[in-house]
Amino acid sequence: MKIHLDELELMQAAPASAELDPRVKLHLAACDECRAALNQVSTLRIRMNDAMALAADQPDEFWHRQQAAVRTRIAAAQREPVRASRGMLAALGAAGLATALLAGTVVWNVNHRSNDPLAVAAHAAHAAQTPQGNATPGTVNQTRAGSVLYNSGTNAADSDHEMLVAIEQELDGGAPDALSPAMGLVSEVRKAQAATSVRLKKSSKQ
Amino acid sequence: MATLTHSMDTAPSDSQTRLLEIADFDLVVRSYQRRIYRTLLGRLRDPDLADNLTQETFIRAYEKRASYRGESSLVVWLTRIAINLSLDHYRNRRANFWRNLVGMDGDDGQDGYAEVVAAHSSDPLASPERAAAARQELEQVWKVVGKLSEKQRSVFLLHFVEGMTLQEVAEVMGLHLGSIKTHLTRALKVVRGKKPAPRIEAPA
Repeated sequence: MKIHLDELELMQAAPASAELDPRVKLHLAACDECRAALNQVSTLRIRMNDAMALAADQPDEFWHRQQAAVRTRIAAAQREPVRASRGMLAALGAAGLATALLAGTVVWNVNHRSNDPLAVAAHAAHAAQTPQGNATPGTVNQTRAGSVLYNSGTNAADSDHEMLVAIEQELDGGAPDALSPAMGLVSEVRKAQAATSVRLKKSSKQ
Repeated sequence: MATLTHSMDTAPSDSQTRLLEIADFDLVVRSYQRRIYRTLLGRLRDPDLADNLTQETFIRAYEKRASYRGESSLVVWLTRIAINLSLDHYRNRRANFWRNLVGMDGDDGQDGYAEVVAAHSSDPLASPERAAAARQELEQVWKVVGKLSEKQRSVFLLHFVEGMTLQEVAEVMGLHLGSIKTHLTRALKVVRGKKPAPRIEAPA
């Protein structure tokens, strides 16, 4: 039985420049059917090449316009990341500035308020009126006077008050003359504390 | 230019990889734009779309130039990018079909067959007889190519018209050599009229 060339072999043999396998060459020499088939495929290949070349044939302007379009789009794409990174840098800068401002404000508020004797005193008075344990460590407490105090866990106002009492007791128990200005300062602070305390009590009763 | 194109078609070399690195990317575009356009036109049968995707192919190539290692020739690498872009287009077109079905806007689903034939029948330099013959020839070939599925068409045109080796076609299409052979065999049978045309034009 004669085995004819298959489609792949015909396609491989179709180009005029194709180097034919000796077996294929031998078969083609002896088989009219395969020779005709190869002729058909070769013609088809030439026609398709011509047709595709014709279909893709465009005037020079078309190719120039295409080159220019590619050039423009590449240039635009190159500019795009630069613009994006500048925008990103600006956003990062703004975010950093905002964070720094916020952090600064919070720190300033906490320091300023905890150093303010009046605020401390007001909080001490408030703490005296409310049962212990109401203030949760690490939370911000709103006093009746409207000021905000940060509760650091060990009630800051209470410890300050205790410290003042301790200093006063120490000084009362025979302090050297050199410490008399400190003694006066402690007395002043305690008076202010007591006055605020009374004022808060009155306002709360009203 | 012809010498450069020829040398680029045959084997990858250092000069090819360097071309993608140096500023003169224009040379790559000028050398390959016709071939990439022809490949896309044969696959898509839409001149405008082939033009757009040819541009897109070179832009992608420029963006991904760092990934080109020179393992394959530049033309194989570029053709693979072009084929992938056309695959994306088919996927989008399929999505558009469903959008159209539910009443949203999409493309009209017409291929550019008539447009291509019309464009090449109005060559003012050609004689009327020659133009008519060219039109008839193109029409017949276009009809034959239209009988193939997208994948068969691509494989067939890349090998049969563009002259790529089976290995190169496999590389471009991302398919095994055995699949390429099967597609080619079926495609040639259809083209020669030895096998009925596939009923469903399955997107590649």
